[in-house]
Amino acid sequence: MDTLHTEISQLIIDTLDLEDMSAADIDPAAPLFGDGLGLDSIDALELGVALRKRYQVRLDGDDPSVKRYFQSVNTLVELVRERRTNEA
Amino acid sequence: MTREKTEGVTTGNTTLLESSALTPKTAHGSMDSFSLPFATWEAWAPGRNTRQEWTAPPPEALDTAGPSADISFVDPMLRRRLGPVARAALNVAQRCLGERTGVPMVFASRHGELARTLTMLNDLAAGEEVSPATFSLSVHNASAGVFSIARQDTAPATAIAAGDETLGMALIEAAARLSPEQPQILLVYADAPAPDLYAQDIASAETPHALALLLDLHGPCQLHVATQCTSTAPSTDMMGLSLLRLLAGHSPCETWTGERSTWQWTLADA
Repeated sequence: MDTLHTEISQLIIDTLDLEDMSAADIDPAAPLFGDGLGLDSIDALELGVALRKRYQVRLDGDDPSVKRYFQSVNTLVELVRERRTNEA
Repeated sequence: MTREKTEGVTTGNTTLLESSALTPKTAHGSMDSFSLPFATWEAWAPGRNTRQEWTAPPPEALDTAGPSADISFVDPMLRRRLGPVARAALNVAQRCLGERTGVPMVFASRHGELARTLTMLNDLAAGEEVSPATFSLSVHNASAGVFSIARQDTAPATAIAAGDETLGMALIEAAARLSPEQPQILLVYADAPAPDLYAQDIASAETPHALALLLDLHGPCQLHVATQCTSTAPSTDMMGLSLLRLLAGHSPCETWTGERSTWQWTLADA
C-alpha cells in the first residue's frame, strides 16, 4: 500500500465516522458497500463530496464508470490517479 | 372556532374516549383534561441511566453535560453518525419497549437536530457543499427511522415538535392514537440545549434529557393531564423535567407553564 492508499482509507474513516478503525484495517481490495466494509448509499454521497473537496475529482452520477470506481479503496486510488493525469 | 364545532369535537372525543379506557373529564371554564393509562416509563440524562437513579431521593440538579446515552443495541455502522439527542431518544425508547414489537410510536423533540441544521446553514452561507449525511440525520423523524431500522420493527411512527410545549402536545398526539385497536403507544421525548446562536429565543434553562412513556390501555398507572390557557409567567425549567419529577415520585402534583398554556399532572393507580 502506498501513500495514496493510506490517504484514501483515512479519508473514508474520517468522513464516514467509522468508529475504532484505522487505515490499516481496511482491505484495499475489499468491497466498500454491502458485504465488505458495509457502507450505505448516504456514505456513497458523502464520499463523493469528500473526494471532490480533497482531490477536485468531479463525479457525474449518470456516468456508469462511477459505480466501478466506488468498489474499493484500490479503484478509488485508480480514479484519483487517472483524473490527476488527465488534468495535468 | 365556533361553538358548534367545539361541541362536535367534544362529542367526537367522548365517543373515542368512551370506547377506550381513557377518561374524559368535563371542562370547567377553559380547563381541558384527560387521563392516560400507562405501563412503564424510562428516562435518561447525563449520569442518570436507570429508574433507580431517577427515583433516588433527594432529587439533585441534573448535569448539563456528560457522556452520551448508551445505544450499544444499535449496530455500530448504524449508530456511528447519531448525535446526542438521537442517542438519548433511542436509549429510552429501547429500555421502555424491551422486546415488544409493533408498538406505534410518537417521537417528540423541541429542537431535534437543530445543531445539524445550523451546520448546514453555515456551510451554505460559506458557499460550501452540504454534507448528505448531515442532511439525512437533520430531519425530524431521523431518530424514529433509525430506531425502526435498528430493531427491524415496521410499527408506524410520528415525529412532532411544538415549541416549549412539545412534550404536552406529544401526550395529546399519543392519547388521540390510543384505542382498542392500538392499545399501546410509545411516546419518546428527547431534547438538548439549542445552539448558542438561538439563546435569545429560548426562555427556559435547557439541559439534555429524554423520557419514554409506554401508554397502555391495560396499564396499571394513570397520568392525569389538565391544561388551560396561561395567565402566569412561563416556568424557568423544561416541561420534561416537570413530568419526570412526578413520574419519579419526587412530587405528587406538578404544574408547568409554557408560553401559551399551563399544564398540571398527577398520578393515580388505574
